[in-house]
Amino acid sequence: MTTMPHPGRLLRMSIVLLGLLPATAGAQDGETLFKQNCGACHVIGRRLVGPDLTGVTEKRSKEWLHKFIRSSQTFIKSGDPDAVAVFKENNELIMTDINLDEAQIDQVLAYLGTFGKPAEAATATATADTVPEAPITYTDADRAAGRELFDGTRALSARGPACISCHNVNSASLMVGGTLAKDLTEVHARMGHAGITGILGAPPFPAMASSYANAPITAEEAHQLAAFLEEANTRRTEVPARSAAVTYSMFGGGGLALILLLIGLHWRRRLKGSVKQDILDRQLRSI
Amino acid sequence: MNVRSQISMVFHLDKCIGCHTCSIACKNIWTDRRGAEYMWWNNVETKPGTGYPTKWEDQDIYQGGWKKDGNSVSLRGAGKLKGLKNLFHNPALPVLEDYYEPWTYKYSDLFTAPEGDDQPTARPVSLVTGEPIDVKAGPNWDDDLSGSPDYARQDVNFKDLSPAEQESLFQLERMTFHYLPRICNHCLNPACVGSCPSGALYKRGEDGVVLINQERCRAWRMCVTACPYKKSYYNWNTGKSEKCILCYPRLESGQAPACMHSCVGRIRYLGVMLYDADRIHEVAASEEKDLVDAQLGIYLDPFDENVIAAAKANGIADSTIRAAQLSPVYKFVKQWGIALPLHPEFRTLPNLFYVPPMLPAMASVDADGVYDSTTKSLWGGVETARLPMKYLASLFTAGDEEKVRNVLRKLLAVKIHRRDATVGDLPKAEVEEALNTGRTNAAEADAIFRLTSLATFNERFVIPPAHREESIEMMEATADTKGETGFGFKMRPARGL
Repeated sequence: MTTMPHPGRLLRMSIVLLGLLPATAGAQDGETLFKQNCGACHVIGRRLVGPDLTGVTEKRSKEWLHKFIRSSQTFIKSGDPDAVAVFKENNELIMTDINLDEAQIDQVLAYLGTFGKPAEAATATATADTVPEAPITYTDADRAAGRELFDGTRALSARGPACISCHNVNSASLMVGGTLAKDLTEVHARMGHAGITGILGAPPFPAMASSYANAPITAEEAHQLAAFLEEANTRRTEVPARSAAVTYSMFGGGGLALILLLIGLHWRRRLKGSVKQDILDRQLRSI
Repeated sequence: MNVRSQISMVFHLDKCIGCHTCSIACKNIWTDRRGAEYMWWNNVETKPGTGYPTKWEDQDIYQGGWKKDGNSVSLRGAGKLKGLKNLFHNPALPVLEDYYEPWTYKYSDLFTAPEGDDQPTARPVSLVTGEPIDVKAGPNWDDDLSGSPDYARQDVNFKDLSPAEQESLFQLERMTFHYLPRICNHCLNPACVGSCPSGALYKRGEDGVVLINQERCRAWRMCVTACPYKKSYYNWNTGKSEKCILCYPRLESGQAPACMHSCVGRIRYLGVMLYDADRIHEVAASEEKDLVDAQLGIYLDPFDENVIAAAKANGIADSTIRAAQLSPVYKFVKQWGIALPLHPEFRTLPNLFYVPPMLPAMASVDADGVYDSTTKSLWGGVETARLPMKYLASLFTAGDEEKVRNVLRKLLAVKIHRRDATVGDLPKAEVEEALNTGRTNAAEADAIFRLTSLATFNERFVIPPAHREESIEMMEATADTKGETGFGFKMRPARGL
């Protein structure tokens, strides 16, 4: 008998350990960086949330890509016509700022292809990614489970915060959600199943990333949430045309009027002004 | 019998000359501060008049004091449910104009004005806003009947007087007034204490002084309205309410309160009264006509063996019992029965008693309209007093005129007896009749005369030793700190510790 661990087990352990290394570890290559930082929205060979990046290095210069990756919104606001065009083409979907340094962006770009000609690595991966998607099916159970996860009725398995604490979804079955992050009523129309599950699997937004860093959302939960969001999007059209803001204003105004009325009734016999006002008035008149 | 001791007071209104020295003494010591300028813990009012704050006696306006509620009493404008309903807006709260906007003068104008044809004047400026103001009223705006059409004619105590009686008071020949100095009554059944939602007001166990804990006061201002005498004031600067503290730091060191010490007319008397705390509820809830007698009945005889034993059992010190036996208040209120509580119908059982003023009729208008300034006797009779008896009864006996009349008859008997003793020009029969009508005798009349006119400082103020070393044990366990570092160090010593 030998006490040596099984080689396969050793390998698995090292993969786990590698995954725990910080993002700046030199050992990571462009592919890993791409999957971690961009994979939620981009794949090679087809459109996911963001556009297909095949051949992007041919179309754009290195400086352009650097600027766009570092802070797309700053770049767009600076008025670059290409950047504005890309933003418009993609339904003005905001790409978050990616926290990578110069060298890491270069590594990612090297993975996507050398400038001027398509990259072999990317093309090779692309073939793997372009396998046609299996059609997504949502069951009623998925939708119900997703709703419970969304509003926190049932906790996420890793005990992450419920979505409703930051996001709102206009749905008759939900209370009003948080306003910290984006309203998700129409998100399924924009991102689809792949985009939603991608973002939930590896959140690219800083606040969301830190919230779920130690409490990852499982693939099944992501699917259920996507099912709920799809339902919320399709049912949305049935919501009456009056917006929540108008309803609230009406209730608020009506409530205020009622409270003022009650105050006026309750304290109708209060002292109004000074008890010697008549004295002061008469003395002023006699001057 | 639950015997407790209470510092009580008598103000002899016949001796008050309305000089306001008491008010100034109090102001200089206690309320000469920002936010307290309008507070007059001691004030002197002219009666008839509306008082300070204006119409304070009208509880339909201010909702102060207790009202009879079956066999019990309830606060008129505060209490558990009523207080809760009005917690965030007290509907009967007086406003600053009901008092007055305090002001000072810009004296620097007198020195810095450029040379000109006119005398420079110091402009009045508000002590609240600092802006120049037109002074509209002050704490004694109606002093000595000034502004009578506005102030004296609106006296709340006129409510039971017929229009003719009221009118006669303002005829030149019959016009009269007296002064009414007022401080906190340190009541046995204080409405302010009952109304406080924070429990900040309390009645000191050892001497019954009513105080506001400035650390617990949360500015609900329920005491301001609940006190029917309007002797709790809200300090707009500190956000706490304040009231007369009966100069307790002076009492504890054996000195008379500043207002009493400084009194020019020596009208003020202070001493201990022993009372039965078990009877407070019953007395406060008695019928209105019985209120005065019931209240006077609650004070116990400090010479009674049973009372002394019960007092000792309750932890009242021998020195306090001795002080109660020497108390001038006991003499005026209980032995002689010539001092009455102010507005007993408020049911707070006030511990400040007043010897009502005589206000003799010096002249009258006869049927032919002739102004006659001669009287048969020197003082006239009690019946011919200028101020209607109904008015004094409204002030001191909840409407019982006979009680006021009895007191005045006794006071008149003392004067007639002393005239007989010092001048001897009155027929013996008249003196005898006066003493009989006044239900008194020569010895008592002499005693009343002596304490009224010749009393020394120590006879007017019989202040019991405070026994702070004992009373502090009601609040804290003094043994806890025994053997520790005394007062401690404000700065850490260089060596040691």
